[in-house]
Amino acid sequence: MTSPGDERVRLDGAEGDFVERLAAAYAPPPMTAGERAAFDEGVRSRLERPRLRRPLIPAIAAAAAATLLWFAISDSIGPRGVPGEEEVEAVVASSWEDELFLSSDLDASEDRDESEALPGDYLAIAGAFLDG
Amino acid sequence: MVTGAAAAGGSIAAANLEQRFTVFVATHRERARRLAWRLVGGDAAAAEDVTQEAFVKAYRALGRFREDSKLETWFYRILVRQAHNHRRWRAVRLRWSGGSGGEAPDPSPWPARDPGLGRRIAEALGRLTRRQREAFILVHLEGFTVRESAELLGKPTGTVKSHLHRALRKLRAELADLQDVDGGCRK
Repeated sequence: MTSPGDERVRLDGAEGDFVERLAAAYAPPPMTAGERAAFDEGVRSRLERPRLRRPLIPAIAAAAAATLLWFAISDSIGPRGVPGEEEVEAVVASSWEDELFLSSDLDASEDRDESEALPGDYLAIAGAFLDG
Repeated sequence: MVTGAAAAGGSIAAANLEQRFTVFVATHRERARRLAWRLVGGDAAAAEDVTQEAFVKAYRALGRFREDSKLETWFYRILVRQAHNHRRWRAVRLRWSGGSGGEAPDPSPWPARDPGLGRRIAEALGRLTRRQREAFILVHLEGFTVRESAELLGKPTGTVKSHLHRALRKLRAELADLQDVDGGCRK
């Protein structure tokens, strides 16, 4: 794999010593004959395992994504029939708004009762014909 | 190490493939396992898993490579990627299990002569960026050339050199006590 002119990096002095020490201290012990045999056996058994069919991979990935999405969504939604916190807040907010705006509208409509705007003689005629 | 495929098939080509693979495993087993061990932070079981999986992939790709040198480059590239995937999954598992999400060293017994030092080096390497760590391990600890490492990492040689420079500077700062005041290394 080595190309001509592509030499190994050699560090000098303190850097070289430092790297050498790291390389010596940070290495696994060499494999024993038993470990080599067990390793080869491990590779062989992996080779004999049936391969996951490629066409199944997108389906599995989609199923995993759907599961993750479901968990993400289900965290923010309460059980069916019982409103979640946000839903309760929405109901409370709408009641509060209804009370504020609708009741004030009603009050406003009452305030706008035209009877109070009629002159006194028209009120007397209205009283005579409508109430009498 | 001859698999059932050759025996069942009985063809000369398959047998040659098996033979070639057996030689390939025997040639690279030790170095591949050591490289994986260093890349995954000193976790022996993970290193074995990563290495075996890389060999399995090499076996399946064997027919595509006529030259072993090409197969070798491809194999080590797969190995580095497998090791990186392992680190990522470990970080995800740690995060989900309530850990910090960082790359904590494996709790398995440390086989090196100086366990404390080995763990410190693993932790210091873990704090490097992915590319700095991979470049440093490949070039300085495993003896790959810069060009080979660049090929394995899929980066230009200049980028690899830059990663190496930064990695070495960070590690020397983190593990400064491993060096003597006069610039030499404590023995």
